[in-house]
Amino acid sequence: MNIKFLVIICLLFSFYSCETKFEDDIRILVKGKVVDGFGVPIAGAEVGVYTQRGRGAFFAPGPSGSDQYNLGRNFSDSNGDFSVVSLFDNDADFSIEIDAGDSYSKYNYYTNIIDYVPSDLVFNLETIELKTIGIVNYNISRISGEGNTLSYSLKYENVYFEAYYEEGILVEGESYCYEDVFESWILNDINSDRESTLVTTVGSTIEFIYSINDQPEIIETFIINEPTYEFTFTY
Amino acid sequence: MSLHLLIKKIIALLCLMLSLFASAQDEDKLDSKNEAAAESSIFSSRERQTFVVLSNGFNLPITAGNNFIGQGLEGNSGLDFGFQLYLYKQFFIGFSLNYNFFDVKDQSVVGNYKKTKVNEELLNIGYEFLPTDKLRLGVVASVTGSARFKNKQSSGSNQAYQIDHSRLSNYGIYIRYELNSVVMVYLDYAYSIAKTDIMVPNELEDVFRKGAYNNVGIGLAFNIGKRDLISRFLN
Repeated sequence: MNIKFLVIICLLFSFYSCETKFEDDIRILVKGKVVDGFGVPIAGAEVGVYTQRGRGAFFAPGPSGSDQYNLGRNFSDSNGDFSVVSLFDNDADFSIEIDAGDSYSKYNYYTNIIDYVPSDLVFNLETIELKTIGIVNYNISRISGEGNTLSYSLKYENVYFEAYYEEGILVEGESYCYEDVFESWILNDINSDRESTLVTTVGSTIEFIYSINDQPEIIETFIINEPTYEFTFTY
Repeated sequence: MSLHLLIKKIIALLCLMLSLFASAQDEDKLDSKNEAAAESSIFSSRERQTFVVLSNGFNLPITAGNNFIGQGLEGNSGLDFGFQLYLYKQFFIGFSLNYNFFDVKDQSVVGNYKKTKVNEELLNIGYEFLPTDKLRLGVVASVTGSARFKNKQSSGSNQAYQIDHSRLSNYGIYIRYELNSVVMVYLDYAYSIAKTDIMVPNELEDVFRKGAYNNVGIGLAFNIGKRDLISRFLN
């Protein structure tokens, strides 16, 4: 009985244990420079090379692979220059991420390297610009009394910098690079006020397009010039 | 013919020779009485002549140099298994199978993994001096050798790993103290040079093309037989 139990345990262990093997006898080099939106070098940005990493979905681009592996990692120096020695894995979901902390947007380089490996084994990302994250707290409230409605939309720059490459060439149709996003709401007697937060980039412009009681639309713009921005509107 | 295959054939040949000459042990005992009166020198001693030495020991690998081993790895521990066949007097050929364990001290140099296990297979030649009644001083150099670096990223049941291969050269010395006619304790030192087959970008060529480490070890060795190989044919 004990022996059978031991055999079953061993079989279960061997069944569930798995080993992932990366490519033998190869290293790649990822290099480049990371700067902020004003061209100032960012020191200490973490650069990671990953395999088996998903690309997320249209509405939520970004890494999504639950079985991702980090193949190499390093940090940018005081000049913003980075150089990462990395293992290599032939995989459709090869990715390089630059993460300079919560204050900056993140950069993700995706490519399929099953059929393509740079002949010099170097992924040169050149200069990558990470924009400073801006948090916009906005508060819209009704002071005009019941029966008044507000329909509005906010157009702002998102913080995703997801670049997809095929054979070393950027595929714009599959990349998301600080693209504009829209957020629309109607405020009425059911929901007359709205208080929320949106994340965008410092230096970008937000368009606030609104219409009160179905009157012609009015467009207001404001530039996010600080990491934390407060916006209040009453109707 | 691959190096592994060559070494396996040599081991098989040595085992065959061992079995052929095992029957000569009785004869050895008779001969040893006559040899007691024979002359001894630092270069040879009929009384202390041996046929085969088996050894097993622990060692500490110590990394060195401006290369991926010296900069990226740190020695942890090791195990040695050795076999020496004395061809003529104190001149021997040998085979050694070593396992060296390293911790990764700088992932930015080697890539993202934590531990390295190096399996070494070496075919050696060497000469053993007999400076005193109880001591044996040997010098060893490898004729051919190979090393397999298994680089592990994680531990436990969910492992990821990668393999690097290299040719290996090894130069060493040892000193053995005879506890009796069969058992000896030894201290040894070896310098190993690994010439890798790793594909790397030009920028990394100098770091990855060659690596070196030292080994300091201690262990037990066992004498088998009392005549060298050629003497068995001549007499």
